[in-house]
Amino acid sequence: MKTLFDYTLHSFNRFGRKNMVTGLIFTALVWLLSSALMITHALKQAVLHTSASLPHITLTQLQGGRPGLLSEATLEPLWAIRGVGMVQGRVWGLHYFEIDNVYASIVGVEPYVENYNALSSAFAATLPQANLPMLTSTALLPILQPYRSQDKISFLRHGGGFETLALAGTFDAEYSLFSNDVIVMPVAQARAILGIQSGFTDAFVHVANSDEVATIARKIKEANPTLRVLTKEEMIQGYLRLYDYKSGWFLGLMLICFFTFAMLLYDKASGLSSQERKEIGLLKALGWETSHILRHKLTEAALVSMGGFFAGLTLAVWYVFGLDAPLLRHLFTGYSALKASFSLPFHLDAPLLALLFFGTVPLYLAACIVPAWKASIEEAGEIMR
Amino acid sequence: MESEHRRSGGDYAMIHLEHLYKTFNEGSPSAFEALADVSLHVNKGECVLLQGASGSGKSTLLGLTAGLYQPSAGRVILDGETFSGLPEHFACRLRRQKIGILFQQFHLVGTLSVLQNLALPTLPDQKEHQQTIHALLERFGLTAKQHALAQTLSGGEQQRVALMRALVNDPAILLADEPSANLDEALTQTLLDFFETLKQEGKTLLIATHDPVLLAWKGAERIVGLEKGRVL
Repeated sequence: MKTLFDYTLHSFNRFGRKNMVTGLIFTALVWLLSSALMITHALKQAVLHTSASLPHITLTQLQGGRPGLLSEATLEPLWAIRGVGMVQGRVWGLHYFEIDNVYASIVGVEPYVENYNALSSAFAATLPQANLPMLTSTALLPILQPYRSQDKISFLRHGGGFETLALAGTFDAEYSLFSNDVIVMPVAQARAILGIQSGFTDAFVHVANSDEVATIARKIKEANPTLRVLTKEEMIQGYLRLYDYKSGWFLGLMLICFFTFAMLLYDKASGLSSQERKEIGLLKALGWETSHILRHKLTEAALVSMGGFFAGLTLAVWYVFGLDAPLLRHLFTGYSALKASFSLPFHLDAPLLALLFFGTVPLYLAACIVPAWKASIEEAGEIMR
Repeated sequence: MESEHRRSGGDYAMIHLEHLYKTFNEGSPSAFEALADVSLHVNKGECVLLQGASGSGKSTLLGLTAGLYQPSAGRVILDGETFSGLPEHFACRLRRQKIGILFQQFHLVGTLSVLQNLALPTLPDQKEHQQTIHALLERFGLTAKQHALAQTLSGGEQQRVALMRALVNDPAILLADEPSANLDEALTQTLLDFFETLKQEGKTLLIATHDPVLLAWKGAERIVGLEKGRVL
């Protein structure tokens, strides 16, 4: 033992059990907090990333408070509104795969539509209709396997019989949050599979000048009071609010952890054990200065808190992005037993790390240093009495 | 008993205490005066015994000399430097360099080894003390126990470790509070022999005791009596 740091390391070992328990609580807290924030953050980033492909305005028909079908007659007059660049009806619905007990979203698109969904436009525009192509996510491929023969996949038609399509490719992984359970196919086949003879389940409106989206949405609503009109911004905010709400709920659950942490801080801040106090008194009597004692205590607290912080953070990164946050993910993305799983997009930025770091480590350091400082400025003889 | 008035004059004062007062819990109803108007002059290489009953102020006087307490009034001058009132940084450095303290209760860190306890006073300066420590271990016959935890040692061994720790920085002054309180007669004699050696090395000793064996020791130049915080 030749330096203050050596003494700190020995001291760290001497109070090994206490330090280990504190470190474990710290790790658990940082892990939970980091996981919740990382999941929320990753989902928000995915929403914002995917938002580039969202239409300016989405329309659905409400009938008795429930979604109904949009008719061509409803959509046709929308072309006349100044500023509207395109109006496109869409057909979609859920298709049940019995073997895996999984529902997938069937989306029917027109091959020439290239601007309402980046997921499908490139593919739909380039493949000839005669091939009857379809596009899906990598997560759905194993579920489609039992219905597959070479590159052809058969779907049960609503009225009986089968509709066979060629697998043309899979979606880009960065869109997995929204495309994970989606199968895109030509609209005629989608109608046959879903049993929708005419009309559309929803429609997209594209606006030439994006600054006019709100004005055009208002005009559409005024002309069609029974339509539900959602702008791109409202849709994004809706998703973000949903994740915020869910992360808030989760953070609420973590109050117990915060109380534990608060108790830990209170225990540290409310004073030293008599053994620790006497040791500080002895060190002062042996000629240690306040700065030496504070350096020792700060290093000891930093070893516990930084160790706990980095362990918790590493665990959280592995748990969220390595394991896709089992249990916690469903808390944020909703009930997913009927959906195929998806991967959380990796996203970790400096503000998030700073928030996690400054929300934990300095608090612990302060809680440790203040009582040590109080003791070290007392007279050595007074402490040792 | 010799008194403070019989000190030999003209020698260099290693310890000079001037009209020291110490009142604990000042300003509160439980305030009590532990020392009142104590002056003492200990020459370089001299050994002075402080004699008095429990509560007479011996330990407080040693504590003030070592700077463990600040006096309520008066001055402590060590080796020509005014110790009391010094900024903490200088006072601690002066204590490290000039003073070794042998506490009555030893005050070893039980969960550290003998070697680690001995290293404690040397850590702030980060100087190499391994040679000194090993020489002391050999001198006190504790080389075999250097890695033993302090809490596993016998009373006599703990006392020797405490004494070694007081000497590890080679201080000019040794302050000892009831050094023989936990020792048998044989170990007390060994301790006295060691004090004699320290004297020969030119160290200044101020020892608080009420042990008749120590008080009868011929090596001490003077015995200063204390009663109710005042020099007799």
